[in-house]
Amino acid sequence: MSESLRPQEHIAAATLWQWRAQELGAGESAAVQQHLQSCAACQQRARMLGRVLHEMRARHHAAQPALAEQMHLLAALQTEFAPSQKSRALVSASQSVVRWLAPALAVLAALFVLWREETAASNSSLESLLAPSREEQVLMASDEETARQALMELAFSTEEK
Amino acid sequence: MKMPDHETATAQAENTEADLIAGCRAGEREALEALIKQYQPAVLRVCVSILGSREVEDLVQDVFIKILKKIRGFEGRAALFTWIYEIAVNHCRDELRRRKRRRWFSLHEMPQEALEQIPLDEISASEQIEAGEVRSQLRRALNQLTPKYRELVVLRDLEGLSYEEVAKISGLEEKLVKSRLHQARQILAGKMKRYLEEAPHV
Repeated sequence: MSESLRPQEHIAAATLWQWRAQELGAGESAAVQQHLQSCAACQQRARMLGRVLHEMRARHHAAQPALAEQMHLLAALQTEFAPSQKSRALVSASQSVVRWLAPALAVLAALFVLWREETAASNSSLESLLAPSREEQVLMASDEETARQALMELAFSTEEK
Repeated sequence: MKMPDHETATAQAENTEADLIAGCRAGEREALEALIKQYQPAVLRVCVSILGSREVEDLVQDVFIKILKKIRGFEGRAALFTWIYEIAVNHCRDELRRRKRRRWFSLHEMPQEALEQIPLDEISASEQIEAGEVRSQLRRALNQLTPKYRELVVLRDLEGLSYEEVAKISGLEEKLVKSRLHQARQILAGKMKRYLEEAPHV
């Protein structure tokens, strides 16, 4: 980037700038330093360039946001991006619903299972109560064959007892 | 296995940055505050120096609105600060184009930046002293640079970013950044010639 340096020439301002910014390679940097030791004019220019760069940076970094600007920016961004109060309320309401809904559903499911089991048990005992006894089956037999079979079953059951 | 200190610090910084990004995506107040605290000064400095005016409050706000609109798509391929600088620089380029169009349509108007682009020789010595000497001259010299040069001087010489970072932000090859910056410095040094070749006046 920097032009090659002849001893009798002054250093170009842009090269002095690179030297100040420590952007030169070791060889080029050594050549600039050697020249500066023997050239008062370039020494003065290097000093002044240092001052100009310092002033430039100082002026640049002097631009700082005031607290009011920060607050104003925050308010603007919140208006634009933060979730609105309405949606925040909706989110918190849905969160609390979810928080209560899961255990409530679990309890309801457990109750439903219990109810189903209870209903099945009572149905089977009711069926057994409503079913005709063996004696009634003999009496209720519609034909002779059925009556004989019912009588046989009654006899066997009486024997077993 | 214990991580080395610098790796721990990097991991913590990445976590903090990831938290900040997640918070901003959710619109959390704390995250927005942290984003402003961390990046508003740099965005403001870049806007002021590229546009040559302190009247950039609305512009900085627009930059942050852009950042938050785009942060959902931020994939972390570049560091967050490089990405933010890139948005700020692009916004300044757009603004300079808008101003140029506005000036074209209102020729009777002479905005501050146009005043600052009057060649230094046309301002009398007494005016120069009144205007605030070296800093004022510097402001004019910087504003006289074309935007393509000015943004490189701002990023490299004033913000102190590396050539690699400047290349990413400006969307140029690193080699081109170096060559343009060299030209920009030559121009700037030429405009500050009397300060670089004479004994200090102030």
